[in-house]
Amino acid sequence: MVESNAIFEIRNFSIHYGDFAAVRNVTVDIEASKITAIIGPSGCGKSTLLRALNRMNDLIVSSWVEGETLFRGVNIYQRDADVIELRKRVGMVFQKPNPFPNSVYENVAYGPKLRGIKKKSQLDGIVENALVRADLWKEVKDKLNESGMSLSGGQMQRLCIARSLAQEPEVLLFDEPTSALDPISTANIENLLQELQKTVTIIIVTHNMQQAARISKYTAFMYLGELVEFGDTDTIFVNPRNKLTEEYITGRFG
Amino acid sequence: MKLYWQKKEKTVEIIVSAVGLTSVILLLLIAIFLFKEAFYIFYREGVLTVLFGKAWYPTYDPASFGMLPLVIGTLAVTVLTAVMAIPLGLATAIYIAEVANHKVKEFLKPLIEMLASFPSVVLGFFGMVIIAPILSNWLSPILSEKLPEILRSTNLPYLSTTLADFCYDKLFIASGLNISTAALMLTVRAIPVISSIAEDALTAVPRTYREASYSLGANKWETIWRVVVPASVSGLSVAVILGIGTIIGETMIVLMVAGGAAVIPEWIFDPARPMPSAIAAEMAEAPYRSLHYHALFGVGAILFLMTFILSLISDFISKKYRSVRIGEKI
Repeated sequence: MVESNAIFEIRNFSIHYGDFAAVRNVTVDIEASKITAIIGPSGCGKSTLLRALNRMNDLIVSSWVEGETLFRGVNIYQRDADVIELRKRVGMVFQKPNPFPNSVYENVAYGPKLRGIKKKSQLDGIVENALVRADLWKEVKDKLNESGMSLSGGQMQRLCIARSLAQEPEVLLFDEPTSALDPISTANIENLLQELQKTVTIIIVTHNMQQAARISKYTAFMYLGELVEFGDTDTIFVNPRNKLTEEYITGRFG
Repeated sequence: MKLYWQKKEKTVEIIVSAVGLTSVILLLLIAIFLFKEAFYIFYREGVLTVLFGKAWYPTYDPASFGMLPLVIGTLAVTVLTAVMAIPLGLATAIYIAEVANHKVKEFLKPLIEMLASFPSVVLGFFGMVIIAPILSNWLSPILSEKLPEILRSTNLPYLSTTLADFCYDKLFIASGLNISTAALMLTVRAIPVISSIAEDALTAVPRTYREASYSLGANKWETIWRVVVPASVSGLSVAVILGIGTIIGETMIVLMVAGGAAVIPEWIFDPARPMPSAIAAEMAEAPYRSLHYHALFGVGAILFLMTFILSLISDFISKKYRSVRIGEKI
């Protein structure tokens, strides 16, 4: 259904931690410039799958993968894949806001500085642009030199989003970005994601089914490491094909 | 009437407080004693004469108690050691905390911590019988005779003249017992201290910082230099300061290998008599309550003040560090 515009093509993809298969034989296409949500009970492998998409799982020594995942048609797990380049194009925002213990400005400028941009005027432009896109500019424009840690939880999370946006990513992966936030901050982040999907492909793992229903175009339901059902969010929530999906969505387990 | 358990609780409280206070009071009394005994030499000879006098002739007649050679001796040895031990100690810590794989780390971490408890008299002995002869019998002829010859035979400007003369003059090592040998052995002593504290500081950096850095496309070195090291800089400074404190207070090594001459060292191969070694070597021979005895207490008091200030600084830094960690939200 979405083959024409797929940014990620995941083919018979499995992820193992040592002997344990955390994700088994997943095949799915992720469409560009849309929000795709991955839902499922704890330990179903949804975060593992998400982290595999920019190879953050590499940090766990015992992990290894089978099958292939194509990003814009290139297998990101092939031998000569450039992981650094991949992570610049596929950014990630984590469950707990994790700004560096540094100023707001330095947090956002971290990525551009890695790319070797040194000119102050150019950095200023990138930082402002990223903060505007993350809907944080108005709140922090007078305290760019204050610590990123001094912001509220929701602001910190938007700072982390701005930090990723400063790398001009094509995809942003969100790993339960609002689970540590209050309802108002959560609503702000959700609005922001709706806005961002115009320019960035978004894949979001969430525990919160209403959140998936509210913001995503497509939803994937995972259970025990397997992809049980994938499709239009409306279809999945209103008329799921699989019995497991239906039981999870109606709150009978999870 | 008090219950049995209340009485018991009270008794335990009194015993624990008594033991705790005793050791604190004991240390306090020693410090007071130190300053009381030290006071007389400064009173009798004058603070400036003692602190900045260049002649330490405690047994001459008339005796002279200028402590500058001892203080400079300690500073020279400390600076030389710090130049080697700080980079090596921090690099070791970074290797163990960030680079080494899990198995190597499990093996190296306890090993380094064990090295910290290595008896310093053994290090001094090793320096005395192995390193010192190597320096004077083997390294000195190569550096001050062979090397200038080779340089002169090149006939290049500067190389064959200035540099050759420099090697001939300055790289001649008269005795293996000098501040360089002492600094080498002190480096071995200080590296485990610095690296084990620094390693703890690096390991304490939250994993989430590293994840954030990697997810932005940083490689391992960029993550270490731009995130992990800056985030642990206060812990690293504490490691460095405590390492320097260890060097300043270390007695046995400098007593055995620093050469013991109470003159101001002018070059890295000169001997020196750092403060702890002066006290250790002379206290047994100084008559009780003589001027010499008071002078040695004076040296001890200065030494105590130096290490005390260092631990105050490290305490200040780690307190500040802790308040930042607690103030951090989430």
